[in-house]
Amino acid sequence: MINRFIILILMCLLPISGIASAQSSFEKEIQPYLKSHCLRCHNAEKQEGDFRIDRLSPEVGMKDASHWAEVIERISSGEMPPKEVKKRPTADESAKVIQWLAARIKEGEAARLAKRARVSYHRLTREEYVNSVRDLIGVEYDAADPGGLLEDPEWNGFERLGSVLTLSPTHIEKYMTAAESVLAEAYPDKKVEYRDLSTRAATVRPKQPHYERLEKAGLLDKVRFPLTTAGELFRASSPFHGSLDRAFPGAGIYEISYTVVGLKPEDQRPPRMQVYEHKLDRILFERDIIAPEDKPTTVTFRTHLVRPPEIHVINIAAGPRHPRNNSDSRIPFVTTADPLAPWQMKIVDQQGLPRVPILILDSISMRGPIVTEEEQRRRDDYMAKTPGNMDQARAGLEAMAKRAFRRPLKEGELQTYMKIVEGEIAAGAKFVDATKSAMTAILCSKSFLFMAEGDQSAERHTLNDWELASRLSYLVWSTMPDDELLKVAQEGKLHNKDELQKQLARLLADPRSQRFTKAFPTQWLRLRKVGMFAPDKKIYPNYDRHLEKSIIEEPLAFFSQVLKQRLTLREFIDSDWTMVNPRLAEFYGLPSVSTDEFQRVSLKPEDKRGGLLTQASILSLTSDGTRHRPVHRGVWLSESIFGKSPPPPPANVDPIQPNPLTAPKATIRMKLAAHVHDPRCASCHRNIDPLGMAFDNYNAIGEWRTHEKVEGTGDDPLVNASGVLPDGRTFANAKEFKQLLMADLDAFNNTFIEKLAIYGLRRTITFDDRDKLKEIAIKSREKDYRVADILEAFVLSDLFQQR
Amino acid sequence: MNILTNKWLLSRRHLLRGIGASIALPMLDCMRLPSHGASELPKSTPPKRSVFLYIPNGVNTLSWQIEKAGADYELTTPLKSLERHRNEVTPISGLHHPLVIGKAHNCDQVWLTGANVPSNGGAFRNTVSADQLIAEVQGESTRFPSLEMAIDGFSLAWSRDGIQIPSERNVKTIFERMFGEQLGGKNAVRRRLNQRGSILDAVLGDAQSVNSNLGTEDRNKLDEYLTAVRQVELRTKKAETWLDVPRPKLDNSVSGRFIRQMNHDQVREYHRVFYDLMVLALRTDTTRVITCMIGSEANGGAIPDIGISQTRHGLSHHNGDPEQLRRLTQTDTFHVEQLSYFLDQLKAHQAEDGNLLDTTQVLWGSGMSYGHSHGNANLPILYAGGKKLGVKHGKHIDFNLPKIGKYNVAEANEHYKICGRPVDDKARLSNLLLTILQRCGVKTEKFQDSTGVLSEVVA
Repeated sequence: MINRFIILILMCLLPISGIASAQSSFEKEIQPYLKSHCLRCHNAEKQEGDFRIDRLSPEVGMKDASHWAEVIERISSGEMPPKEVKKRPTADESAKVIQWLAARIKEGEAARLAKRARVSYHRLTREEYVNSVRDLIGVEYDAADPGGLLEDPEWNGFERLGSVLTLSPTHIEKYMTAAESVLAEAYPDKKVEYRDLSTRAATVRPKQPHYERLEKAGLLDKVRFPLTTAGELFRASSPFHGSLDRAFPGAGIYEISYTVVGLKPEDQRPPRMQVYEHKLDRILFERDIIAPEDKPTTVTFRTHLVRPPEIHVINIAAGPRHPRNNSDSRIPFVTTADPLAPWQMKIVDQQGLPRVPILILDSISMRGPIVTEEEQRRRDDYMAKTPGNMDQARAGLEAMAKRAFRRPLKEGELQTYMKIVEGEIAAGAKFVDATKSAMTAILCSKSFLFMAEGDQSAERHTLNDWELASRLSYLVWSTMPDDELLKVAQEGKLHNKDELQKQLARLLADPRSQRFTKAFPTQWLRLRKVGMFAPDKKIYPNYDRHLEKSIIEEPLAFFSQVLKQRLTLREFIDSDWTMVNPRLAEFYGLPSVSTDEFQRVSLKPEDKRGGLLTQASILSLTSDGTRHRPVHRGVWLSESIFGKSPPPPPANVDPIQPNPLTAPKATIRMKLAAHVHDPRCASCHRNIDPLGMAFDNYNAIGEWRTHEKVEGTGDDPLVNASGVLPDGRTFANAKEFKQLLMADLDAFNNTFIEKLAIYGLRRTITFDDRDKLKEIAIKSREKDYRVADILEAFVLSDLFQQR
Repeated sequence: MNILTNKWLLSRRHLLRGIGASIALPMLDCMRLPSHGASELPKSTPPKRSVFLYIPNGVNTLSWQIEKAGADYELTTPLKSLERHRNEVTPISGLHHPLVIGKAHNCDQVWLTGANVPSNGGAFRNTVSADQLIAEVQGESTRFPSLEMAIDGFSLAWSRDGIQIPSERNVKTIFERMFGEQLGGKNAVRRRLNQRGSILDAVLGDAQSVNSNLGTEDRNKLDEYLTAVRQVELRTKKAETWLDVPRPKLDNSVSGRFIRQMNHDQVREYHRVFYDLMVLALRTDTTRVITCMIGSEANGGAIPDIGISQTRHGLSHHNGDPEQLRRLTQTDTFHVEQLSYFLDQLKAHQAEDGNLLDTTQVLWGSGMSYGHSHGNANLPILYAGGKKLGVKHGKHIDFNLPKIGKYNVAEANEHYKICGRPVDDKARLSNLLLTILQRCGVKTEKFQDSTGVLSEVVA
């Protein structure tokens, strides 16, 4: 540590030297140092950590910049040369080398920038495509359905990097198909009528058994449909059937409501209603339901439908199959208290209280398609009012292209699309269809599918207002700029920092900012890995889909809370609160919460939770389905909190030997000790493993434990979560480990800012961004690491306005 | 004016001329413009078919390893079902991809390419996969140059630009794309293709106008877009050419199998539907090149049919537990049995003057061998079929034995070392891929890091 500070001070004191004759001074200033302190382990014969210094170009700053940057960082952190080496350089010697290397890299920066592509292209992700189309023309596209758009590749969790988002012919074909279906919905061949229909979940018609009895008792309109046992389905969800005036109107967004009863047995989970479109294999809605029989509740949600829906309702918390359930009986269900019904004693006890979670469906209504005024206006804007009127066609396509491309059109650009209209009409197409062809082309053009930054004709590193508007809008909303943002860009005011600040605040206040609070933490924390290796049902019977959804939701709700409540980075490390829904409260052993929503609850020390690192999602995303993996946890922590990717293991190590079952039980920690004995492994693992070991009190799905369950003979061994950090500080358990992180918040501050920058700039961070990132880090520190202020500092930084 | 002519081709030709030499045109062979009219099909060549099947996470190498080289080898437990195909199959031991030794997380992505990849996963530029090189030659004669599918996971196929060619996992979708009648009749389809053609033409022209202004280093992403659009144009064009050729007429009993809803829990049946679909595609000469990922490294599924509830990935990290190892062998056996079934079906169909297997080379295997510690030398590889293409079978080819003398799987850790580090550096999977390429009529003497063909399997 001391070493590190001295170097930092020296780096500040020494003036940055001008452009020296770099080549010759490399030999004089640097080579001797490398020779005596580095090359012994990083040369042709021996490549410690897979890193060779002898091959790095002496043209520092021009070539191998990232590798030289790595050299600087390793020396300045005191990590290299390793502590064990006897003959160590003095702090002064190291500082000189660092300073020389850093100066050369700085000099090379401009040259490297100039070599960057003049225009950067960043393809929209699948999610951004869907949002943009929705905002452009008011049609929802079900991109994740079979035959929809392809999943996007990711890099270290990030899904929106221009360099990673590749494009194959299949992508283009899918974009064309998507555009055709979107336009078919926006401009249907036949007018689509809005319909609002309701139906009872169960009805008894004349001549059916029990009709007369129910009619006499005035219960005909009280018949309902119960779901009490596993495997039961309710299939008759759609009120769109029967006569022509009850037909499904056509593709669009529908609002669906169910009036339901949910009876929760004491000491059991409440009934959980799942609404599932089985043809689309899409879960439309899921919620715990608690409502008494005499006071049903109504739940409402929206979904996009193209065909008449085939919806099943399932009670996924239903009890085990009992021999007589409602579907086997011909007695219509009215109430659980019906003494006639053979199932009655199966589902309620003598006091009439439920024995199993009971879901009762009362009625269903569906209305749609729902098109907002704004959506309709946009659709109308783009399509000529008078069929055949080419001027109107031109004006419409211009309006659409401008919005789609998020910028003014270039000279002659519109002509491309007008030609399609003319050509298609000449080929015999109807006017509307010809216009739709041109619209398809707009939706498949590079200017819609890619965010372009820069000029093809000149070097330009600063974003113009249009590009800035898109960058901001895709950062916070994951969609195209709205009218106001485009207007400000049009007026040329957006690069003005006051205006930018105002716009950021406006965007954040809009509900669409949920997309940021969902997507950014998902990518930064790599939450897509949760459940990638499904936990073994035998070892973790408590784990199910509902729990998985809940643990993924927790860090997102937590992040949103930190941002919106203007809390600081410290909360991510440790906190005395978290966000839970009923399922998660149960899983964590916290006092139960009743509404099925994420809500803030306070934590006590004995709850063993707090911050992100002890959340079940983070603890389980590195597991392999059967075991927790401390090394993977360590790598995750190193990458997500310290911003360092440990080098991959050397290629030619002997395989890990399995642990014989007849041997005494050993924790994973004991087995990993083997790594540290092999010197080639130890050099990295001593930096990685302790970070993961700190969380050994949590198993593969994040449950707290004191003993590790393992195979072998004898008792299960006690968990030991203590460790030593690379810098020598020690900790006894996760709590203490978090305190050490808290004491060194700047490292996390830097990482968080870097991750935010990768997300916002849609590219990887290079050494050349270093100074601008530092400025943001300083601002963050000044604002006590408040996350909302970090986001603002990032958006207002020079970095955000540059390519 | 006849609306049914593909007038958009004219402007496209014009456009392509405009591009001139400023773009390195990938896939030169199949990108070239046909010199004949739109309705004229290229002359069909004698079929040389190939199928590539990938299983994730390696195998239980202890029970898998065949101990004796040559013709009188004994098939091990998981391979027993191949006994009936003994004369059409060659198990090979000792193969590996040298550039990815120890870097196991991408081994499915480079199985057919042999490329060097960073070990941390994520972004990298792959190289072309062997199947695509074959598709360039054999695809000229079929409606679909190649078929990419996956029972689970992503795709094995990579374009000349090193971009993954997505696979399809939905049997019904694949079936309908290959055999479904298109809505509205031939003329409506032709009209639609022409409309798509003019759209593609426009967006290509728009992107091209920028591209010509950019220096060579700046064009990566835009080139990718241009290449993709151009290839869709060619596909569209090809679709139009094939419009006059009726799709194979299939019995309802045949198509019914592929369009019904399927139960993913009946794994044997589910896999067999995929294999049947492959046979159907091959025997109707709808395509000659198929890649199919049987499972991804992360999600190679459980097999409830045989009482296996863990994923292959879970089982491959067996930690030496005999029970886990036994189950891993069970799933290995299961997957080889499905391969045997596939070979049965290929043999059952007559094609040309023999059976379908005689003109179909099948490569089955994994990019991993010892999954527990990600060892990826001594890959499990089975090579079958193609007798009429000049392939010979019947022996176990082993590249380890000449150097190690004999196997001793009882010493598990010693055997695992063979699976982690190549015994024979020259025993490259690329050599086998090169052999397959040549047998399929691809004129090349090299594939990736190949050192020569595998003469042992060439008749």
